[in-house]
Amino acid sequence: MFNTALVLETAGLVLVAYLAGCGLGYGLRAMIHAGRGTRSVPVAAPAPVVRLETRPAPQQLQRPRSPAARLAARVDEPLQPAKLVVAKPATTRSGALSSPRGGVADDLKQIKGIGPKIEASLNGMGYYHLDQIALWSRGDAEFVEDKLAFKGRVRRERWVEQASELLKKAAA
Amino acid sequence: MDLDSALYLIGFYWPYLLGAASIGLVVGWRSFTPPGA
Repeated sequence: MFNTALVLETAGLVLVAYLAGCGLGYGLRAMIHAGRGTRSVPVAAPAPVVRLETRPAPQQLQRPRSPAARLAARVDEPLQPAKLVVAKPATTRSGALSSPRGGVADDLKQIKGIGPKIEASLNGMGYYHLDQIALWSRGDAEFVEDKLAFKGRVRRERWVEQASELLKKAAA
Repeated sequence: MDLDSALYLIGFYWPYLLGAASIGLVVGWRSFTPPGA
């Protein structure tokens, strides 16, 4: 009635089917992802950030400590409406551009450690070309690390050196 | 396991094998981490 060999064979087949599915799923996603990575995605220029300008209240409007002082305090100046100012986008960072030169950005994914998401973030910060990265100072690298929330990654993965090497290879 | 018995088992238990393969597909898909993510 209970055939051990049959049960083992069936379990083996189920295991093989499961492992084949694992490999297929992993490979399929890797393949789709690789295809996505080679496509050139147009990157929009960073949108200007609107910040609210705040100013300290005039002396007359600050709340006096004692009731007598509060009575004595007179509000002469009318409240000023808050001013809307357009903050400059991050393109003022050294070497950053508002758009890629000639409208075509370099493939920053050539640098090991930069994936599609980081590339899009760098484009958003105004970095489109390998020569921009090759010219990063320590301060620029720290600025990018702060923006990407990857502390020490630029130096650990040697992005600046990699960019220089890629440029040298391209020039040769 | 000889070929005949394997074919017999596949023919009989194919829905179970399909289920196992589907689970494997989902597990494999989710275990892939895109570079740079």
